[in-house]
Amino acid sequence: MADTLTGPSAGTRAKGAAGSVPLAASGGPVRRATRHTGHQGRLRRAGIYLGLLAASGFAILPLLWGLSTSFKPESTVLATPVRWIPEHFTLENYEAVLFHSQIPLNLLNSVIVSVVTVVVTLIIAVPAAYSAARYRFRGKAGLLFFILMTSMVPGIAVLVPLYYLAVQLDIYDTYLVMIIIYSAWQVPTIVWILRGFFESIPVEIEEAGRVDGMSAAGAFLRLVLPLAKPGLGAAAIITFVYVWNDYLIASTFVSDPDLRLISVGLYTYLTQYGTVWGQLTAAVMVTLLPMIIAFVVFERRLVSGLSAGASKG
Amino acid sequence: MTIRLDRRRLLMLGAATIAAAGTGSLAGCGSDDGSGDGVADLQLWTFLDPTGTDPRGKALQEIVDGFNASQSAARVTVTSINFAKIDGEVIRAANTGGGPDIVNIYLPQLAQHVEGGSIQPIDDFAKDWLAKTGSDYLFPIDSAKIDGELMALPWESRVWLLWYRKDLLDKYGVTPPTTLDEAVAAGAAIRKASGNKVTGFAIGLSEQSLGADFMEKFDPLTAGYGGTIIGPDGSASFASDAGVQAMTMIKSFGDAGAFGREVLTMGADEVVNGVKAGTVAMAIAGSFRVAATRSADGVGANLVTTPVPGVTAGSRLPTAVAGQTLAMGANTEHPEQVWAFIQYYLSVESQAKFAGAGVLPVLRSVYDQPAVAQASNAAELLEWRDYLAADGKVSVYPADYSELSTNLVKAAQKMVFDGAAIPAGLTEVQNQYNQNRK
Amino acid sequence: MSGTSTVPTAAARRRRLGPVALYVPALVLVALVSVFPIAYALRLSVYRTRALRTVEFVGWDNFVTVLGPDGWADIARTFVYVLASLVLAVPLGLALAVLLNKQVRFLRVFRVVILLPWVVSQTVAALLWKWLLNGQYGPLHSLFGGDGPLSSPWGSMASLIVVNVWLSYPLATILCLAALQTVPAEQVEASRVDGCTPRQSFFLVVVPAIRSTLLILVIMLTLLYFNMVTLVYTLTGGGPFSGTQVLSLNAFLQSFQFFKIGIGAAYSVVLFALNIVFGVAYIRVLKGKNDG
Repeated sequence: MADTLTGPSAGTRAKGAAGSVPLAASGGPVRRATRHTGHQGRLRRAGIYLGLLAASGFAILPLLWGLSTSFKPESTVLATPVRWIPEHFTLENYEAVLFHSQIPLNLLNSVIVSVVTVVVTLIIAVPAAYSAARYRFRGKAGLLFFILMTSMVPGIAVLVPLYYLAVQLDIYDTYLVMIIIYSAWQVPTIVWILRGFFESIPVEIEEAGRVDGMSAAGAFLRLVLPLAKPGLGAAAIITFVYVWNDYLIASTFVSDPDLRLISVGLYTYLTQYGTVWGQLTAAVMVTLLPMIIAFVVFERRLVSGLSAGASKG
Repeated sequence: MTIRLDRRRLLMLGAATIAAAGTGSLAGCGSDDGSGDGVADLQLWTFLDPTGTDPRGKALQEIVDGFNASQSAARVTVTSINFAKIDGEVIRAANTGGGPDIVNIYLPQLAQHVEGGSIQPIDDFAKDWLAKTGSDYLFPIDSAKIDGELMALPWESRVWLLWYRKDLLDKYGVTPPTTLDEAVAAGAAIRKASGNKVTGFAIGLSEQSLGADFMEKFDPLTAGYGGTIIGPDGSASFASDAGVQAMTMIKSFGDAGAFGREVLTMGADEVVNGVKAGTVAMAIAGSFRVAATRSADGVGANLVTTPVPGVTAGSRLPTAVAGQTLAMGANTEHPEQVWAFIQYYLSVESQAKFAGAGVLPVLRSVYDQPAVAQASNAAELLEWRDYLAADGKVSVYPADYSELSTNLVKAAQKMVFDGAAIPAGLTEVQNQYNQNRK
Repeated sequence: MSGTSTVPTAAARRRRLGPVALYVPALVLVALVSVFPIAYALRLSVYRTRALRTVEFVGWDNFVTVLGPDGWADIARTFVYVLASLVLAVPLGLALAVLLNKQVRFLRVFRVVILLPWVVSQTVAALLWKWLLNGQYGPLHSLFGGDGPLSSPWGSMASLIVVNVWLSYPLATILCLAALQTVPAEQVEASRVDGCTPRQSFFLVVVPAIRSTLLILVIMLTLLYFNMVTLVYTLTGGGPFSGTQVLSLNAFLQSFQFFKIGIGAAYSVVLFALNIVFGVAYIRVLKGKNDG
């Protein structure tokens, strides 16, 4: 068994970790190392908060301006002097976006396509990534690089031929065509991401499971996958956000307004007669909500890392 | 990590890909959107959005509903596509055998569609109608002809006007200019008096939107000096005396300080934003943006529009004939019904609906309709009509106009701000354009 | 999960084929969707085109245009844009991941807020930032005054890089944050016992442990930056004075605005080649000492 299961990287990395991991106590693995007391510790904590606050400020500044604009009547969005707190507070933009636009439908479409793409991508990428992490065979490096290479061609170059294909296969204007293309473009990088996470899981855990009478598949599903949760979570959220943000595919392969994704829907507010700022920013704020929910869900997955998974087994 | 790429494997990968490239070819494919029940299903692709809050979109929906109710042979459905993306989408769809039956095209993009094979001539359908209604058009229908064939019918007109913020001019003690030189001086005075915070006279010189804002000034200016951007034979001709004078005039706005380097970040959108915010005092902008701009707080009646003054007192700069048109999709299976819809769309009743939503009509007779005559700015609308009728100039917009305008605005940036010689800058772009023509 | 049932059993043949079989779904999908279009793009790049049709074979002519004197300036700007963005985004993303992996109050709030820019579309990000950076009516105009940073070529490039980093550092943060979960605490503590400072143990223990994640992260960001179109197009349009004109923008303009898809494809092929070169270089540089 060892000849196939022990790739060099998995083997070397496992040496330090193998014995200790199942013993790891709760709490993030790296966290405990930074425990400090006294003056130096307090300074350190202040530094951490300062860093987080500065980053939050950088992250949120443009969004705050968007939030402020979304509460202004359209007639005042460009008024000078500039006001961060709206002088006349209004919800009319949100009313227009929620009840008199396609945005809610666009959001639903985006959620459907994103979620299905995440599932398809993971189902296809996980076996390949696991194989890449655990087995060696001739041509593996070339194969892996070939898979990665397919994601290296600029999207704009392959759009036209893909369009022809979609029309010929009669899948133009469907969810299906978007899901297929998104999955195909995400699988390569997700294979590479997950490979790293599978490599970090000690082979000994599976070997122990096999000794206890589990099948290879059973050991993978019951021992390895739970330990790879942070990686799977990161892969899922990366794929989800990719689909959420993409404009190129969504605008090219669907012309039916009822199937449009949110990224295309937002373009409704960039008109020939200028940008409708109030409704655009309100729509952006509305689209942030599902993503905040997705982040909170993902964030829970993140903490159940190596240690938590191991303590179950 | 076990990645290893040696030269041999890379070569093999490369060879495999090139082999695949050799076999990669595309067969054409047909569309199959015929409907069985005898009602022709017509797709209309347009930049207008019937679902939003824009009154023009609502007018469109009313017109489409009216057409669908008026007969039983065809049913039109509207697909709204962003104005900046619609041309690419239509051309791509048409090249795979699909695409809309009816398509809205902005006049300067018409040649691009003809080149892309996305629309078909409508001479045969329009002949009788034009004989009857053609003289009602405010401007020559030639603007929609490519190589002598009528490719679309204009349904919206627009004029480019001198916009000024009366309140700002008053504040800085400047009177509205009556010649271009006065505009330069007035703009410079305002910018200086405001401590460079207000752009006196804005001409957007950004590469964004393919340099459209710059071209909308450079084209009429060149015409004002007696030249053209594209000559009658289709070759570029703006490096003429007229073009040089036009470019020199634009530069003089910069040299005098009527605008500063902030115009390098401005396209048409930013110029209008500036007018709304009160950071742009004067500009040349389109009639189709006036209503939305006036609705901003503090603008209202302070925004005044007049025909653009010319080189000498009392003269006026020509205004480009441009606007939205309807064309027939290359792959439509129901040309008769498509034509019926276009005709309905251009009827006086439909045009009056659009006029009520703020669209400047293309037909003279529509200006007598209540929607225009009783509008709050009726006098202004008539002034625009007269400006268009008197000084409207049909420009040639070739298929590669986007590329030309992008290259021209880049050259203009260097001529205005970087001290590049004006004749040389124009000649270079002109030669490059003419060499690439085939 | 069709592949998992074929994990090696006693039969030697299946043991040999099993690992390869696990790749089959992924290979089928990418072959179906990616290989044919890439081949098509390669073919287009050596043709003169009219609208969307090929007219005649022109060999390297399109590449002569792409790699002409202006072309090298575009490539240089592309490198500045990509490398500067990488140099800022990767350390920033990693540092924030480390901070977000500590036990602090409001951790959830910080995690969500810091990741938010990631889910703003490029168009919206460009529009909001363009407004923020406007020197006349922007909400921060008192900071910049006058022209605003977008009116000079260098200011424009700097702004583009900042906005690009703003959009993409959360990808780095999230990947690093996930990777940090897999670093066993005992390894870190052992290094501290051995006398390492926190900084030393971070660079000697933690970073090597998440090396393969950093590798794919750098590859992903490089691909993202090289191929970035919408942000550049909406924020600067390539200007002023062509100061932010990068290869991807040219590929987009030629293919989708000028409808010269042959030249557009040539730009894309150059980008493709650069992506591969960078990808191979990263793999060579970042692979560990023990890796075969």
